[in-house]
Amino acid sequence: MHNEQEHKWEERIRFVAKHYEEGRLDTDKAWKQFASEKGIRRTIPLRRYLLAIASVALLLVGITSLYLWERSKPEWVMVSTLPDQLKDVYLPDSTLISMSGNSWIRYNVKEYGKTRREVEMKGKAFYEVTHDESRPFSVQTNYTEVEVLGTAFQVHERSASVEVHVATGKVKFTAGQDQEKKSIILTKGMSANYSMETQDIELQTKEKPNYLSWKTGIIHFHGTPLEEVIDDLTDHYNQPVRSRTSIRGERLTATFESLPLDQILMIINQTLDVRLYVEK
Amino acid sequence: MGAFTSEEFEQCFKDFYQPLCLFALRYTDQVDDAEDVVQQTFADIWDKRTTIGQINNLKAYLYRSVRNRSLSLSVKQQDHQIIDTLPDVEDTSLDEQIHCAERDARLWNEIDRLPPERKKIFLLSKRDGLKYKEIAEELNISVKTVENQIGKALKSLKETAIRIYTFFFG
Repeated sequence: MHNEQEHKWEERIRFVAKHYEEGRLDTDKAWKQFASEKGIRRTIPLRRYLLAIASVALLLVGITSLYLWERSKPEWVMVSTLPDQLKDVYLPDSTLISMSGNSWIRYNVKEYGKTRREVEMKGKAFYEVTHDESRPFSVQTNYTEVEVLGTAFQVHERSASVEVHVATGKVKFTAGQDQEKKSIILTKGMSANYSMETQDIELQTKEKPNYLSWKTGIIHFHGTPLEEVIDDLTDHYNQPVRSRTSIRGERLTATFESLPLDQILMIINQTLDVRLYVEK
Repeated sequence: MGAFTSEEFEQCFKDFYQPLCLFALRYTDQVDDAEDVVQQTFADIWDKRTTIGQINNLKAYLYRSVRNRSLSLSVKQQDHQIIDTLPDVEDTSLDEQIHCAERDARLWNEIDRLPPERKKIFLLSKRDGLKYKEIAEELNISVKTVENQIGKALKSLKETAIRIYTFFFG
């Protein structure tokens, strides 16, 4: 170092050392004393304060929406059946669903019974709905909806049509896509069919006494044209029944209870001298 | 600077307190007086913080206020105290004095950080003016050790100065 600088350096060391006292000029101590004399408390600047409030609020909004989203996320209970399986399902309000084979139903546990009772389905099922006017019950398929307050009815959803049979009470059957919706009120004993092709609901005038046979196991015919007998058997056993001969004008009166299909066909063939068979 | 928030004020206080004290010390020659002057200066700014309006250069303002207060204090004390050193700092510019005060503050802190034994030896020599031999006798150690410790203390003080110099200008 330069001589003059060296001298200045020496002078500064001397100066500082001369006045140096252990623990003096302690900035933090000085501030504490000053702050307490002046009554200065640590305050958070407004901007940072607002920012903190904003982030807390944002966090709360986030948590709340996550919670709401989580809560509104449906929690489905789904029941399905194998092709030849029958199943009875009780819903939380003790509504009974009797499911036919090859069907499924599902409902959202979180929402079911809150203000409405909604069930979605495919296939065929018979509903015995617990009466509750304050919470309407409805069954939805792709394009139809059946609304009831409390009644017993059946919905049979096929690929091209949906059929509703009412056993007791009254239902509102709505069908169609978007704006093209149509509704019909069905009461005890009535049935209606919605066809995907015509996109229209058709009231069935002919009685269908066997629509519940899959459930009861009893098939009932009373002067029934053989064409209809074939349809009902095909439906009930889910096997294609055909005739080798003309059956025009033939009618059948009979009751079958839990009989195998080939036995029923044998009985009919012997009684009416026709040749019905199961197409393999 | 406008109106201070208490946090900004605290930051400012902590940044400038030590250099301002060492700056005042050049005039007052008493640590107590220097601290009083600086505290009063800050108190003044704090009390006027809402009416003070804009201070364009807060640092310069602080140093100037401290200088004025220090000078009027030494004038008041002149009656009953012989001024042996009405400081020769006056012939240098305020900027230079500020710079000097800042370096003095760093020296002070560096002395603070010296290991206790080395600090004691260093202060006995530089503050109390004892000779190495006297220190050795006082502390019952060898003169060699005293030399050694003082050499190390000076070295670390100088290193701080150089380190900071190179940090800013190097």
